[in-house]
Amino acid sequence: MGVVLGALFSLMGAFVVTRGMAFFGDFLSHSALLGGALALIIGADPSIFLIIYCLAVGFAVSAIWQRMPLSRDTVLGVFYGGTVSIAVLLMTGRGLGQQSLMQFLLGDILLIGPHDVWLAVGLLATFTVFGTMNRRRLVKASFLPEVAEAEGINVRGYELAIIALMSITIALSIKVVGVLLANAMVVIPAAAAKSVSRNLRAFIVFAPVFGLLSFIAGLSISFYFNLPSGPAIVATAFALFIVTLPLRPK
Amino acid sequence: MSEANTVLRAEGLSAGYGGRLIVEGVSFTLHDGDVLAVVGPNGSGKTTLIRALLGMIEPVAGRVEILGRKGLGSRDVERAVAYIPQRMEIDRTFPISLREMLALSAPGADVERFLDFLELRPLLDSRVGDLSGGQLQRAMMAYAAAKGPRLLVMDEPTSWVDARGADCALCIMEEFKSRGMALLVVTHDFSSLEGIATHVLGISHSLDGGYFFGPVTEEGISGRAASLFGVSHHGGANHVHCAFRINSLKGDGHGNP
Repeated sequence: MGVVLGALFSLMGAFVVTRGMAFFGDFLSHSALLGGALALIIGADPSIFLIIYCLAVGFAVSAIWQRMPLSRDTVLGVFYGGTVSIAVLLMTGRGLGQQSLMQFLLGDILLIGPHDVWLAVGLLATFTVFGTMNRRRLVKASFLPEVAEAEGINVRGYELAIIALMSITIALSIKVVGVLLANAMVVIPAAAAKSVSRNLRAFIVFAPVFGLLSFIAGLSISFYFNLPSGPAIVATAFALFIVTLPLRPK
Repeated sequence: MSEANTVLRAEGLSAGYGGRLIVEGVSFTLHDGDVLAVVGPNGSGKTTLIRALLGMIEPVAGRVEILGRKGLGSRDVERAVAYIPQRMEIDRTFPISLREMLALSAPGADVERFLDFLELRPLLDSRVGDLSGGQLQRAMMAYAAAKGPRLLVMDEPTSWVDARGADCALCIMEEFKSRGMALLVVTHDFSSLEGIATHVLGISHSLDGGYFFGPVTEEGISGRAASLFGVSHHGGANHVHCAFRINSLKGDGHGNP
């Protein structure tokens, strides 16, 4: 399971860091606190509800930054604060348990069930097929969006597809490491890979390798030292990032 | 000219932003081998027209056909159209080499085309983010050339580059024209395209109907358009650029004689 998640999160991270969507991921994960609170209040399955919630808010804020004369990070900042504050008010007002809150904040890989595993495998397969079939156009839409648009490529369509895949990935990663660290697990291995890669080929190799290393080493540290798994994985990825800092290609 | 030679057709095209029309009712047809200079003062709507022609903004009225198709999105159109924006703004942290960027151009793109002429071969394995502004502009010309398009659209190709970059742009235009490709070049300075342009589309709010479209004849462009856009009446070859082209672009464009 760790191998699938490590590969999935780092491949998603590759899209996130090359499209400048790290803050969007941070927004999605933190805003999911509201999704979690709503799931607890209406008694829905948190896994499924979080996916629907993340997809809904992901598309909603994307539609808003497209139409409003506001920059993307301003819209995200507004909704970040708004959704988190409503979540805290709901949790306090409804007396939702401290344990539920901690579970959302920090996650627990032991809560991953068989359907989560299948979801992760399905997502990884979707990523691989989607990325392979559209590789040239995806890179063009990310790196040369204006040129891609002029050539008739549906740049907005690709952005929506990535938002959808990212929303589902973040919803899944919340269960593993919680809302506080979900985005970090997606972004950090890919950021480390980006900083050491001179070209795309190297980046596509390094990102999943760093993701897998972070997962395997982090879970081992968690197991042998009896530490929480999510922070152990993210701290390992962070250490990897620090180590790679001086390795920037000349 | 037959329909098969028609590359771009605009009929009654109007475009603008936020409910404000910037260009209105523009109609023209561009065929293989035509070089259309889109001229006009700053703020007249040249770039808006380009964006509407290429489907980057939804026209308010009228229609555009590229290679006889109303909508974009097909791989045929992606290969057939190349666009070099006025100023390239890229994410300089993006991990991509120049060779990989050129290969993005189109499936089976010929990344070797014009590499030597554009002095880019030594930079092929460099990160694109490490290129200078002038090198990046030349890289975009190589990107456009790599796909061998039927229509090349350039927005102010000589405005923001050094003398070498401007010469490269003019030589690429000459070369594309000689190969029968259609070019649409936006410029605020028609004189830079004298000897290359076959047609002129002038945009100005002081014109009846807002625009002027016509051929550049042996005698130059029409006196009325010439006086409006401050250009000379006579065309004629640009000998500096032609000489440069003869010296540098003989052969197949790969630097081979």
